[in-house]
Amino acid sequence: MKKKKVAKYNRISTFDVILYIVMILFMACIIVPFLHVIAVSFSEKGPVMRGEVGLWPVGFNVDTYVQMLSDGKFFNAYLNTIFYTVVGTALSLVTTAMAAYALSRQKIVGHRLFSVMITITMFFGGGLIPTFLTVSNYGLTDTRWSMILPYLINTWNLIVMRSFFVAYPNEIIESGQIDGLRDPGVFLKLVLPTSKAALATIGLYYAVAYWNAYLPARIYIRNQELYPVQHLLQQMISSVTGEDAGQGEGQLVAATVRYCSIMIVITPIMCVYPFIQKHFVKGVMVGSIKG
Amino acid sequence: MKAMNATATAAKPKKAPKNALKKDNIFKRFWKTRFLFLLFVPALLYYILFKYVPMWGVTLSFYKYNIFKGWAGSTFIGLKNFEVFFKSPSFWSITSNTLILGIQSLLITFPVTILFSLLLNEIRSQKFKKVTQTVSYMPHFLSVVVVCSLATSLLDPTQGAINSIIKLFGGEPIYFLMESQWFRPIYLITEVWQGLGWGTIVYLAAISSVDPGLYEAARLDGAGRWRQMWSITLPAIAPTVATMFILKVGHVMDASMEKVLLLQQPITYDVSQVLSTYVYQIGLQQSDYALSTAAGLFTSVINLIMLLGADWVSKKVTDTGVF
Repeated sequence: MKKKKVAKYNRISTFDVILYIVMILFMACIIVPFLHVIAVSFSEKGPVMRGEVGLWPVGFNVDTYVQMLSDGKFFNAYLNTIFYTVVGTALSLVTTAMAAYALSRQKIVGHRLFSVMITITMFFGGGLIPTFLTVSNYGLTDTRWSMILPYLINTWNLIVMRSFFVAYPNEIIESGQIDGLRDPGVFLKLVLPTSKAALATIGLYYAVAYWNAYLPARIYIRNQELYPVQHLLQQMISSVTGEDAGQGEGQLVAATVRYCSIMIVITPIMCVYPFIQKHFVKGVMVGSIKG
Repeated sequence: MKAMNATATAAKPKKAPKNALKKDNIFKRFWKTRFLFLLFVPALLYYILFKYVPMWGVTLSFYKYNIFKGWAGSTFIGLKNFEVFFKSPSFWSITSNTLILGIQSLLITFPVTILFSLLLNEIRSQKFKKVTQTVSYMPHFLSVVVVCSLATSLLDPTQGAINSIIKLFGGEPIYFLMESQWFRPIYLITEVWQGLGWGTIVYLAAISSVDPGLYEAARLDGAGRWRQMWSITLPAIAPTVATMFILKVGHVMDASMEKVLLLQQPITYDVSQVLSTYVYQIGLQQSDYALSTAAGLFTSVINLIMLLGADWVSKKVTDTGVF
């Protein structure tokens, strides 16, 4: 019996071979563009213009990187993005966790009302202009807060976190209550410290969202000093396509500059990504199975 | 044993007040759970200020908004804005563009994602599977700006890699983003590129929750891999597929506003102008707030109808629904 089983599983069928080839091609589609981007960003301008750069730099140099990184605008935008991400994530995480916990305790007054209230926002909203006008009327345009406050709580994250708290073992809470803890104590000293994984996951979701935010800057901010790095990148890219197309030298500078900017913007996320990817996946699974 | 009895009796008096919670009047209950309520207050404020107040702003579509006089000074004109919107020359192309982008993604991205999930599940080597998954999730974490910048740069007529390859084969460079016929394929490709890997998570979760015993039994009965996939895996993920489908249908009019905005050019407006970008232009560039709001409301209503419609159909056909 054992021999038969081993023989069956060790046989690699043609299906497997094709499968592996398909997967490798798929991965290539994702990785190859980046190899090209990296190659161009480290290349000399001449070869870039002639389209000679494939997957490996031609005339390796870091000139464009130096040029970009010493540009005050870029540096400033980076600091802005870091601010929005750190402050935004902190505020979002705190408010979301508190609200999620409160909603997970069925005894709260208005429990059903609040649950319905937040669920509705997932399917119906004010729309671009009403939201824009509202935020303007609060006086938030052209301030840092316009990048954070309107996006403070993501309902999906809230629901996922609520599911997590609902599933929190009641026995632990009850034993805490026996020890004399009341609601504040249970939350602050018992539940929160033991929920680090969930908090980390949701925190990461928010962090990535804040880091990648673009539209809020486009519609709420005019002051260049406050631009996040995504907005700056977009301005850079759009200023070297369309209008400037076909201007020779100016265009040359464009390509390496473009690719360097892209690299600079994505490097932090790419570096952190392999380590945090596991948490993200878990979060989605919790949300989909329970929510 | 003694300790357990002690805690059991100690627990009893604690439980009594909690059950009594139901008999308390609302004020007493509120006072007893005041901490929890306090926890919810910031969120409550957020939802009211940033979600519900703008919802009220939807009524703007029924007025002729006067920027100088603000709300109070605007005149009520009923459905006039909607009339202007529906009668405008671009109404049909905008709506159909939106629908086409949405349906195109539903018809192509959706099945491809499921297929890819099934394939991923068939990978025997756990290591290889993990590597593939890690690589596939990566594009999801890139911002819309990065993805569009990447696309724009690669498609550039003089320096883009794609055109370099075309030239290598002796062809003429194509200015992709300036030609209407390329807009939808490019949109679709970027969507698949970015979303395929991430989209498999939900389905893989459903697939992995299938009892392995079923596969064993099937194998013993002589079922090959394809048969197993067809008879066990597919039916097992059917509810998940249905739910996801309903949710996607509910968003079919929600062509990614940012992506379209970044990929569109005035020349390609005949295919690239969608409801969301129209709302953006009319509202924020032409400052016709009321008209823009009307168009936005139209989009929301259609979405809601499609969502409820898909849910109803799903309930009739498969007994599962979201609502």
